[in-house]
Amino acid sequence: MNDCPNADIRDLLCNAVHDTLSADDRRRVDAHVASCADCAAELALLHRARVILSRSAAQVDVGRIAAAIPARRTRSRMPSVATWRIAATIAVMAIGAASLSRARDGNLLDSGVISVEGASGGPATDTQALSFSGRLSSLDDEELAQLLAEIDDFDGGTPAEPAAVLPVPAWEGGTP
Amino acid sequence: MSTAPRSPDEPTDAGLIARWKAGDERAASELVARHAEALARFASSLGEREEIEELVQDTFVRAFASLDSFRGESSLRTWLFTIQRRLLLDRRRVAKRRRGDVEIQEDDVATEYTALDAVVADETERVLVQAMSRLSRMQREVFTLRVSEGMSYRDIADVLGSTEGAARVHYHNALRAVKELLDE
Repeated sequence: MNDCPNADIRDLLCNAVHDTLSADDRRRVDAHVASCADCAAELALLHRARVILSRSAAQVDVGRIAAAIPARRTRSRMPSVATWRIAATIAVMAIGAASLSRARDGNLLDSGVISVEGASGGPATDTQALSFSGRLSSLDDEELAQLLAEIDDFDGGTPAEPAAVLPVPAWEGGTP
Repeated sequence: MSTAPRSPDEPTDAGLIARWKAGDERAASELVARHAEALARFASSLGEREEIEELVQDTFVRAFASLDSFRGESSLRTWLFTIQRRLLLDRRRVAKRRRGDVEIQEDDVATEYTALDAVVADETERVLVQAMSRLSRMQREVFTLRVSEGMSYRDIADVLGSTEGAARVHYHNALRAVKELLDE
């Protein structure tokens, strides 16, 4: 038994045995096999080999095999305690990281607004104010020096002395 | 593949897998019924005579345990063949080590391929069985998957962990060897 030189057709012979050829390939194979003794013999050999191999299959108990397969464990839709713990840990870490990042950027220390009210000892309505809006880092040396001078001049004391609530008795008979 | 053409109403393997994942245990039984015989046939071609049912059962148990990892890039049957083949090779390695033998090689000449003896109908078949029994292990596996199961070279390569080209070469070498033995 020789091998046909037409490798394409020979590769299709198994598909012909299993009847899985397209209509076009089926026609090609049929036409070739009709005129090629080698391929006709090979096709017969494959048919016979397939029958023998099919017959050789040991009988197996399908029910017994299926019974041995463990049932599928469907997953609960409720998150487990471990899941909540992981989520809480991630949240705490995220908040901590964000706070640290803000602090490092100076956003907490350099928030851009300084506003202080002060008094120079006058009446309660006579207040002195110091205010600054913007970023300290954006000031040049001259502006910083001016701001420091204003701070030095600023009276940060209590705006006014509290008014007396209790009547002060007058001394009689001279000084004590 | 040699599975009989299914009617449009018959569920696909993917559909049965989805049903089983949803808790339908009957879907597992349908999948077993659909593929067990082919697995038993492949086990026979690998030289197994005893414990075939146990091997097939272990194959299914292992497959269902890891169905989540089955991506469907190959057919389910191809995947099952792959699992069964690995199981069998592992068992043989363990058995050989226990006996103190050298590790088995993929191209060992078959010595256990007697499962077909009982199914010979005439002298021609007897010669054909004898010819197939003399194939190397790799040739026999490829020959069985191609001839008995009708698998493509690509699927055969997946089962054997080889290449499509290598599967084609093994198949044609096996066929040539069988022809030569028939001509003797």
